[in-house]
Amino acid sequence: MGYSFYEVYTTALRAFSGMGFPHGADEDAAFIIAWLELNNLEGIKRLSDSITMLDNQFNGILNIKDNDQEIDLNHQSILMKGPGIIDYFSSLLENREKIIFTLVNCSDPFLFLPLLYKSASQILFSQLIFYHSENEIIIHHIANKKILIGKSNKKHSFTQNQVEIILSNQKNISLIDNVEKKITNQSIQKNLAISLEPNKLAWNKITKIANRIFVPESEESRNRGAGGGDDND
Amino acid sequence: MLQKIYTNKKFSPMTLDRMGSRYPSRLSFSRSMLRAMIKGNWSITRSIFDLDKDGYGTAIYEIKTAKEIYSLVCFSQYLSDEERSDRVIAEKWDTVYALHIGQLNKKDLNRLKKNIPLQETGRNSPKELVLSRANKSVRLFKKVVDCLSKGLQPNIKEINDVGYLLRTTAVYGSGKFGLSDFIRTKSETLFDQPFRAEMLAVYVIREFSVDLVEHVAHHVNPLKAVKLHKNIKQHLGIGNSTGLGMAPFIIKHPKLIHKWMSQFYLTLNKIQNSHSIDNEKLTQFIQLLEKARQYLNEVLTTDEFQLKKNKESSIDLKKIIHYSKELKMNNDNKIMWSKILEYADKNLNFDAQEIVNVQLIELYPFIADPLAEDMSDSDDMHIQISQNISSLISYIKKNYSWAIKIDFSKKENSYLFWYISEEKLEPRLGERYNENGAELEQPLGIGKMVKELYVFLINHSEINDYSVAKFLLKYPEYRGIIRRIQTLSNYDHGEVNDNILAKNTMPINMLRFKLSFFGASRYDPKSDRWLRVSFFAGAPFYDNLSHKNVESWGFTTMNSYHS
Repeated sequence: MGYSFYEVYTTALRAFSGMGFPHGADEDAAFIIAWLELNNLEGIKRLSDSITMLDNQFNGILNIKDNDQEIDLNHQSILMKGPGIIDYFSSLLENREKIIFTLVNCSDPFLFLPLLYKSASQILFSQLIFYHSENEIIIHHIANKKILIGKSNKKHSFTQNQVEIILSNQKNISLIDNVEKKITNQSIQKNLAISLEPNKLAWNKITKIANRIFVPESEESRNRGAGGGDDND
Repeated sequence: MLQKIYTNKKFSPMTLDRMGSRYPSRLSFSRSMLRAMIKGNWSITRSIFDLDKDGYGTAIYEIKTAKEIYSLVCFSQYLSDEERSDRVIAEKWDTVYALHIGQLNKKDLNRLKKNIPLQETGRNSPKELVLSRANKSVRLFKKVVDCLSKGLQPNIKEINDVGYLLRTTAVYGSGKFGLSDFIRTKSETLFDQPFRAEMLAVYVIREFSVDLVEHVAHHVNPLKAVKLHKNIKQHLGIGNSTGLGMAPFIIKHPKLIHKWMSQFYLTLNKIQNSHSIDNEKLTQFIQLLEKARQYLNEVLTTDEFQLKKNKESSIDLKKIIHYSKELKMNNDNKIMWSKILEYADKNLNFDAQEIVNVQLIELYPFIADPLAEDMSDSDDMHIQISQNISSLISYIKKNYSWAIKIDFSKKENSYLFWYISEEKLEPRLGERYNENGAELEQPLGIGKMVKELYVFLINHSEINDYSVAKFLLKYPEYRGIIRRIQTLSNYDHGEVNDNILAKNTMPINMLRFKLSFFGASRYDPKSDRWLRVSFFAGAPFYDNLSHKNVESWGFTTMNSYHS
């Protein structure tokens, strides 16, 4: 079944709220999921797969010291930690031309992509790089609200679950050997013209969690709400 | 981009009592949609009208524009009186509608036939822009059928008492239930302004309401039946029942709300600061105020509070009409409109002040109309990561003084909570100390959230020099409210300047605020949480719509059609 972007975002937002994410953190996480789904990157499936580490376990606190360039995420979800990380390192960019930082024990680094896309209105260039195989790394090149995704088979020293993020106020050349996917305003509009089709099982699971935030309507509310008392004239 | 509104008004127009005093203007979406229709030379044709003698079946109206065709499909079905309800939990309606992009082919029509009658439980596609439903007015529909079938016209007084043949109980757009997302609608269709597609759908539903009543009357008595007289027909609007759903919209889209208000005040400021009053304009202005006064005397409501407001506004309008006539007699051509607005601010109630504002705007289409074509804004909010906490505290003190004054430990100040109902996923209001569910409260109590943050920051002076980004590493629970405060620091009119959790909150004020920008008239509150209104009352029907009359229908009265 097809859904609109609004429905995917709203359902994800309610699910995060239902799982105990505070206001604001729920919006950021829902944006990440809906944006990935919009761009055929399985947002809802990724959320569904990570429920056990999110449900009633929100912890968005980060202990980053002033000169830290490596953060151990200890496999905690980017849905909780990612927005704070990107905001913090972006704030450092005010006094520097370029910031490079590394995340270790980072599961599902794809979740950073929507955050970097959103930051593209303020940051000239960013790059998300992570391990794919011994011979290949995956590179996401984000500039001017356009994302290029591909691999590089140049010799690398990345290990599994290691991620490098570059934030820069300078233009940079893409290191991608073969561009496998492009995300642009045009591709987004194209996807909006057809319904989003999240994984059915995952969608049902997320919808069920979203339902937690609903409240049975009281008699008082019913009587004073639309149509109450005079609904047929 | 500078988002400040330059206004010399001392008050905030975003308090609930002022918001609940607003009236439609040239900038309202129903008005600007009709202007766009005339300007763009859109045509409306009834391509299918397959209804049985009782008026049940399918009708399609095609709206042809230079860019593309849009189709409003209408399904009409039998509904017993017992099943007819304005409540959102209703599952069946007299008529249901969808506005579709393009001409309808058989496959799409069959798909819509299966889904549109289900409304919220059906599915739509991005090819659909609007989903709606409407019930017949029990008071008026049968009465009009009866009159027409006997070859008679209904009395315009009877039309005025009700106002509509059909009453919509929901008009959905913008991604709801699978409909086209607004970011697509805005970019890919003609409907680049908020609620323009919805207003077109409502206008065409009004056309259908008259076609339907005339069709049924004709089949009751084919030999004698007549069509509605043009003047009586024009007095009909399309009804709408509106509940709490509109209130959270205002809180959730503050940049958009600011945009609507800033365009309104920009129009007024341009008029009052640069245009002196000439005799001709003053004469027109007085006529418009007299028309509004006549409207207030004619409009019906059973709500005592609204009746009182209407009565007081009528008295106050008399005052300003008298004042304007005196100015006219003095024939001083150096007077600016600001003089009249100042008089209104000092001497009239809020409703009458708003009527003065909107009627003044009527006189300057070249100022208002271009601004009415720029009423959209993105919902994006951003955290200003480098701002330090002491600067954030200053923002709060400057922009949220109304909130930090409130003592939320008092029960009456946090008495209400907003939630989403399990039944139809609609926003509802609960009483925190009497009802269950407050732990699932929606984050709409902005004043309370701001106050909590403010108290926290004041009590943690050791973090005053932190950047917001650094602060949020430790306290991510404040992301939402900080993002809002920072984003709205330059959006003066994005925030409701009142505590909407207070026991004495009148949610209907927020509904009226939004409805005024839609262009709704004939406010008829049914409780503090819902009301009935009319859209397009007095507007020319398509067969009579022209450049000459497209703007003449504000504050329409029973005498408006005699010329």
